[in-house]
Amino acid sequence: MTKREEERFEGLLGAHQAMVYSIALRLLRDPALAEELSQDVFLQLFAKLSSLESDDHVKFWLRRVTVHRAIDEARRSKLRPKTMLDQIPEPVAIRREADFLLDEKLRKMVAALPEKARAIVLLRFQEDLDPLEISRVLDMPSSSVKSLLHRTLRLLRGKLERTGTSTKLGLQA
Amino acid sequence: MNQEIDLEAALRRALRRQEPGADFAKRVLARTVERRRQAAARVWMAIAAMLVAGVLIVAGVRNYELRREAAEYAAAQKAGHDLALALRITSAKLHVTQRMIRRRPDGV
Repeated sequence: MTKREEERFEGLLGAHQAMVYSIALRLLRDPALAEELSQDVFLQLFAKLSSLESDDHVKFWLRRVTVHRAIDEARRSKLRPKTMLDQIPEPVAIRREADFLLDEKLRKMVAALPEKARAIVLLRFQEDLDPLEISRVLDMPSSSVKSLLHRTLRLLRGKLERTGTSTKLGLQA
Repeated sequence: MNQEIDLEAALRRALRRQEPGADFAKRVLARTVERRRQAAARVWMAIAAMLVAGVLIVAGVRNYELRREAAEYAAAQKAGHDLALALRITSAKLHVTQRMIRRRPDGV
């Protein structure tokens, strides 16, 4: 690897570490496992970097590899919803307590989703991808992505309503 | 519709990206250095293995040649002994025949 490629790798590492770690964390629900998987993904990138020409290509590759590896890992270790998310430090920001509680609730609800649905929700709302882009990352038809996303949102909305949060959400809008 | 918009906004907020622990990049870079060191070690191991294999092949070929030379030498020696024996037998037979010829009264 040339000096130039090393510098490029360091730049990409700094630019995308939050994306890779966040996807891994929310799919695996375990900070230690997420860190390990994120490191492995970047090591894989390190070995493959010369074949990835543009930074957009690298970003797409990182998302794709992270999501697939995290889903595989989650299925392999048969992870079930844990309280691990409670241990994740919140980003430093001044927010209303209600928002904080709602965020916690939503994160737990997302963490309890099946792997595929969780990946779609993450790619949609964390990574801000549209269904077509999500379908490319996950290797599934965009119609399936749209359908699963719709069903998942309906499910989340139903759960929120049952906890009495839906009215609050409506008022907040 | 309002609810869905709110839910999506709430999800975006709740699922914001999160930075990994401090020194994550340093840990990854340390592993890349370690991986390169391991790769270099593997290359040297491969070179060493190839050298050992080369030495073993050369030694094997030389050993085969020596054994073949020894076998050929032994076969030549045996052939020499056989020839000497055959010559001795022939010589003895000729000697006997010569004496018998000399003893005949007609002297033919």
